[in-house]
Amino acid sequence: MNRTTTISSVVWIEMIRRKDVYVLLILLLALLFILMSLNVFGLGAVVGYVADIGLVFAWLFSVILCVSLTARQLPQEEAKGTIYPLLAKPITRAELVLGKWLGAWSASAACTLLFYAVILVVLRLRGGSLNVACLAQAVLLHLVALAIVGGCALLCSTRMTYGAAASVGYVVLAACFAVVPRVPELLMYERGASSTAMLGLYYALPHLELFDLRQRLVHDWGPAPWGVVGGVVLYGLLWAVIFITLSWMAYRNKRFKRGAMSA
Amino acid sequence: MIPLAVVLVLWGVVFTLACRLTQTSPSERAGELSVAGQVFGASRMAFSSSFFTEADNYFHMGVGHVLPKAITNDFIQSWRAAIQPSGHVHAEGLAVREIMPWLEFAVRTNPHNVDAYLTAAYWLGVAGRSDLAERVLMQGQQDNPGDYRMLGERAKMLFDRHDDLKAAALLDEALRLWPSTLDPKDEQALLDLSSMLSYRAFLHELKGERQAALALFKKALAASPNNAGLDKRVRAIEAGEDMTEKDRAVWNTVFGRKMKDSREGEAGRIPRDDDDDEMN
Repeated sequence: MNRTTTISSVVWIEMIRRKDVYVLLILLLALLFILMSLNVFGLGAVVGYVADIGLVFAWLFSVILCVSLTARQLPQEEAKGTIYPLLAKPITRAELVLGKWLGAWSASAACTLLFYAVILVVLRLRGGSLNVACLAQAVLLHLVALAIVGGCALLCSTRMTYGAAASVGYVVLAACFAVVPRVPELLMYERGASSTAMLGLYYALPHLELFDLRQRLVHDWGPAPWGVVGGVVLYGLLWAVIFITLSWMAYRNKRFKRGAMSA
Repeated sequence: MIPLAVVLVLWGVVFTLACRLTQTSPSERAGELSVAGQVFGASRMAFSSSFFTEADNYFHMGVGHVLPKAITNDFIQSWRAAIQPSGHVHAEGLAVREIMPWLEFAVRTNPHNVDAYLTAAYWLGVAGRSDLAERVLMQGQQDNPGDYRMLGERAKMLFDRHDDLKAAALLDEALRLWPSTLDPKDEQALLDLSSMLSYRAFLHELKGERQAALALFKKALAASPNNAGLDKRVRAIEAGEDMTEKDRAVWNTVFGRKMKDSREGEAGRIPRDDDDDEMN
């Protein structure tokens, strides 16, 4: 486990050095302050939209950060040639894959918590607040969703360059967020091969909409049943394990050629 | 010397072009489109529509429209039903203010989204801010000068405040502009027409102009043939019946206005023509 955490720490150092998170944080702050400065028809003390839009961008930025951070790890090592001295050390490919995923996920999770903290501070300045229990559930599910996102990006990166892995990762995740939740409604009007394809997507891809508690949080519906939240967490962890396992299986027998994965 | 001369001539051409190009602002050159309008083009209408839908979502406390589903009994759908807000609920009291930012976004992205203006004005009125509601309607009218709906709503607000002269003037203008961009056979457009004609006819009746009132009530009835109240009023006026106390109470309820007997003084009320005769 020490070797895994050592690899994870390298991912952290890289994230801090690359400054991606600072840019996203500044963007989020700028957006929130613009929203706060709006004078809505002369009314004051309206905060729901600040929380809603802030949370949308927290999700968006966290997914962007997680995908870019994770998809970069393995291709970058191969492109720079540092994969050779790395694998020459007493480290298995499973530890390497797990360490990269753990580093990217933990770094993205920390940034996500920072985004939530910024949103809460801004809301407080505006006189608003969020239900604490519901917020805790929302954060927990968000972090579990990032585990799936990171796993998906990692799987893509085992056999593709960074650009291709990130692109495919974004497409798959966009399908998970936008298409998969609507399959039950779309199936009412589809028949034959398209219906089968949609069912395939429905069962083959993770349902990330289960991890999104924004509507509940923003409209103050209170916490969801803890039993259901526990089930969703287990579902998310299972998907993360599946993606990491597939990544290990795709990477364990991979042969490297110098210069083959250069961007 | 020749290259220097060429450079000076070219600089002069560029300077002249810059002077001509900056005489009008970009928004004027693009036909009164804002910068955002020029950047986003026709897609701003899609954004505006999305923002209006979000306002509706906020009004329903985050509960989306229920659509028929082919898959309803698996664990994914049951978890989703437990996690997502559900039920038929509406925002009440101060919570209704939360829909306003989305209506603001809707009108900013598309100033021709009349429904957004009307909805914002309505809820501002419900919230007791009729001053803000009127301001919104006036902004909407400025952005949509040919649309009758803003004028009609403003007229109703003035009617409620007993500013009958202004209300009558706005109603006349709104009726002149009807149906604006809507289909004359559109159900909502016909309801609006019937409503505006009824208000205008009521104002005529307050002045004692019964024939003018009758003509408008008949037009309103033609637009809404199933309206029993209008039918009864037309028959009553044709039969020469005066407005009874019961009729007055009914119309006060219909038009949401506390109207006293016509012989009592009332600020802003248009005096009846036969008042002077009786006093003389």
